[in-house]
Amino acid sequence: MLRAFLAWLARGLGVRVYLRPPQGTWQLLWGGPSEVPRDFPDEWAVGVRDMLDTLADPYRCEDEANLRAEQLLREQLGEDYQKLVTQGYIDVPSRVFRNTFYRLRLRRPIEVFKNGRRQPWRLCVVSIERVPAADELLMKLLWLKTNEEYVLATANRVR
Amino acid sequence: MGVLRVLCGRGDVKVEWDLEKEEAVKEAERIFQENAAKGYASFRVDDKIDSAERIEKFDPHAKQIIQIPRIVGG
Repeated sequence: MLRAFLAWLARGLGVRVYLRPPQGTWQLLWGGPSEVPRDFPDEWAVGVRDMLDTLADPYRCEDEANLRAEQLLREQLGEDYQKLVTQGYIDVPSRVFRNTFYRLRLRRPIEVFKNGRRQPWRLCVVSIERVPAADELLMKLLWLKTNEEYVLATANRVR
Repeated sequence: MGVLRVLCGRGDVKVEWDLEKEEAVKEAERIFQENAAKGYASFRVDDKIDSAERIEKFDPHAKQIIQIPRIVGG
């Protein structure tokens, strides 16, 4: 109906009406894809340790420790480990709040999604002992699975 | 056969015990309690991580126990 009306109006006025902006408009307005390198791992990482190389982890543990931590994480996550490697994160559904899940990335604060929308703050928790990144992720996962409230009470909210 | 895995800077330290060997069980329990006193949290993870449960006392019948250092707000 609206389309027909606009077409009629356009014919009357002798102008061309775009119901959709011509190709390249958004790129013209907002610019093309960023060429600034991102500081988080991308989809092409092939393993947790490769992801750590991308992160330039300042708290790197010995390679042997990382290897063991990665092995343990792989055993515990099962199929989800592949998701972590390919996507760069794993999602943990909340047991307390409806339509909420937590997104875990290596050496990153926990992102919170409510109704599919990422919250503007993240939950930052760290181990009091320096542990490999894979172990840290496992720790967050264990706490979220067993006592989510504790994580919420302990974490600092960061932007 | 049970295994206690303690997460630390060296990755994870594994302690295994056999229910039939009393000394091994005692040693695993000693390590468990030592870490618990340091503030480590303990989780019984028998099969998958989804079945993980927080425990306060050493359970020799557990298939796997994971102990992790305390967490704080970062």
